[in-house]
Amino acid sequence: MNPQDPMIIQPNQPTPPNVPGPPSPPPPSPENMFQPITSQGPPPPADSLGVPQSQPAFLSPDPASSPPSSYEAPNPIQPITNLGKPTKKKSKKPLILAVIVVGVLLLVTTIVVVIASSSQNNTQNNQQQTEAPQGPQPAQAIDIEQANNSITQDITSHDNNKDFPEDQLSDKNLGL
Amino acid sequence: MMKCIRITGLSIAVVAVFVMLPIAYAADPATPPAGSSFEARLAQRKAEQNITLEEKDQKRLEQTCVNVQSKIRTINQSATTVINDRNLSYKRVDAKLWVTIGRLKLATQDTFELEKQRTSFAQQINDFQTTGSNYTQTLDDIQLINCQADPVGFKALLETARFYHKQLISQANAVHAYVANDIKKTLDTHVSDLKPKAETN
Repeated sequence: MNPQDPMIIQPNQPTPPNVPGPPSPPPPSPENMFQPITSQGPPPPADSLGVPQSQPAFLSPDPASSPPSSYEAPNPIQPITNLGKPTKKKSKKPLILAVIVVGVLLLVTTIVVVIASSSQNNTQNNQQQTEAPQGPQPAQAIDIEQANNSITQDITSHDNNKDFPEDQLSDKNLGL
Repeated sequence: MMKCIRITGLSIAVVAVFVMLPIAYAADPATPPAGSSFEARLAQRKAEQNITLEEKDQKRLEQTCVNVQSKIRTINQSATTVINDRNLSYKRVDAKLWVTIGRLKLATQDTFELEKQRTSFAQQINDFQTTGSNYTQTLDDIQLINCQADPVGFKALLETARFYHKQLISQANAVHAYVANDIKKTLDTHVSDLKPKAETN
């Protein structure tokens, strides 16, 4: 057993400190995952700072050795941007529901306004009716006639002979 | 002969004076002062009536006055109700006259006569109210007095009550007649004045 074997955990050895290394390159964005292959070939890879590096000569296509014009590049691979997201048709149900709700609200508001205005008109009419007779009105012939009859009735409702008999305090009536 | 006729005439005149004197001397009962006591009212009525009783009248009064007081109690209860109802009716009539006068003025009618009659009517019902109050007060005093101990006072109060009773009848009849004859006539005149006159072409 070799004590220098790195796979062997050495007891009582201080663990080496974690020295932060160079920052790891950012993960490629989904859009840049697959780059179209053009006649000029794929773009050179970028370093950790995003600076494209020159490609080795054997990788970069030589314009002189470019294929003839009759050569057609294969159809580029279309980028797949939405991986795992199924396409959905836009549903019109929420729109219809919103229209219905707005319509109902408008209808309810209209009814409330109509009822409130009609009740206000009624109260105004009642106030006008109750306020219409302001004070006594000029007398008419029928009014004076009615007053005359009423006064006569008040007076004749009392019978003087019955209420104050003349012999009520006589000696005979009192037993003197 | 002439001398005998003169002496006879003179005697009759002297007797008449002595007979009429007590009646003439009895002054009309006056309204007692407000807040007066029973003793004050009794003294006032005795002075007003100036009653003198013979011995047999006094004894008869002492024997029967207690029964009279119980009858007076019943009469007083009914009289109080009747007088209160009449006062209310008369005030109602007065209020109706006020309103009628106001409405006639709004109709630009001459209300001088009706206003004068209304004032007279108000005075009449005021007098009736005063007489009714004096009458019921006197009936109360008759129930209060010790009639056997003071028959003269009892007699004085009884005569006072009779006076007010007659006055009540007279005033009630006067009010009825005034309304039926005077006020009603004036109102009928206003009715004919307010009726639309027929157009004559």
